[in-house]
Amino acid sequence: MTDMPLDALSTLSDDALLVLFSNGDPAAAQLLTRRLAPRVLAHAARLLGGDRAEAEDVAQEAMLRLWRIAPEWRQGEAQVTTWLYRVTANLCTDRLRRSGRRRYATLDQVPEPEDDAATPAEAMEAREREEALQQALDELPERQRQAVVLRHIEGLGNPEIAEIMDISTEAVESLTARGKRALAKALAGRRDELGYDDG
Amino acid sequence: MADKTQDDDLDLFFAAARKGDRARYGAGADSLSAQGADVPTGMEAFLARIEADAFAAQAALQAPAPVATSEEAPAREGWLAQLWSAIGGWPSLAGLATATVAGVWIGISPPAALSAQAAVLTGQSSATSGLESDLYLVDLMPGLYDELTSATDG
Repeated sequence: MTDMPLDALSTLSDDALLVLFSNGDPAAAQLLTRRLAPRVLAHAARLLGGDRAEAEDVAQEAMLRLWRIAPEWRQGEAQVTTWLYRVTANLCTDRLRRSGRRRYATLDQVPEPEDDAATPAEAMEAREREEALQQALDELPERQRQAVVLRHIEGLGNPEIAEIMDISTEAVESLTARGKRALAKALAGRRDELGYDDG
Repeated sequence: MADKTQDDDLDLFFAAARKGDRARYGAGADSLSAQGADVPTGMEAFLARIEADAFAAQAALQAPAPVATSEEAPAREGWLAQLWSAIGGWPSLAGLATATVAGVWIGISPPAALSAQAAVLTGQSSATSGLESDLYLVDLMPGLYDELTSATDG
């Protein structure tokens, strides 16, 4: 089989790339990695309180499961990202339960986000907001945290979140609404400090 | 109205988180056309590990199954199994068992001829008494000596 160039492959769906992957196409493996692994890592880090090293372990494990299941993947039945988000969340839940502790924001351990457009003061403010949000997320019940992260940080729609979490869309709405109320309450005390009103 | 304010306030935090994720991990699906160009610092090693897993999984998928089986088969046969097949397996065991039992029996109850022969061969019988006292103990043709001597005498 002739390997397709990356640019040609990039128009293909994840499903189609998995077929090529199973046929041994190295470009498909490369593209799937670059398309999916960063999202899996970001999601794992959010659910694990920003712990980068542990999030990388979880993301690697989730991707490894995808590589192994690739030959049996049924086209069109589920989205690859839906499956990956679910596997990632389950792996995070296992880790959190095994360690028996809550995670607290450790975003300062990861490389400083680069943002050329922002002034140092704006960048610091954004960073403080992000850390405050992570701390508040860490205090939420697990399912609320997952729903809020999927909806408002990953930007997924309620039907897809419902599929990932194996619940109804109404239950998703309820979880995100309760989660957001709890977040607003937790962050209310930092209104002045974090410049709520300048947005 | 209160919910609207709450959402607006929270959106600032969510926006900061999304921006942080993009800077930290890359934009994922959004950066397909420019992939490789905007991989954030610290992501290369992680992505390389994932790719290595992917290539290894592909290699395992492409490896033909029969080859793997034939490679495993000789490895399972140890030195004991090789010895077993060298001596002929189960059929040879019957012969070995018979020979063993016979050997044990001869040891316990040796035939008289064997004992006498063994005594001569091992030098336990003296040169003078050898024929008379040992070999003659076994009389293969009783009466022959008497017949011969009576014929001579007569």
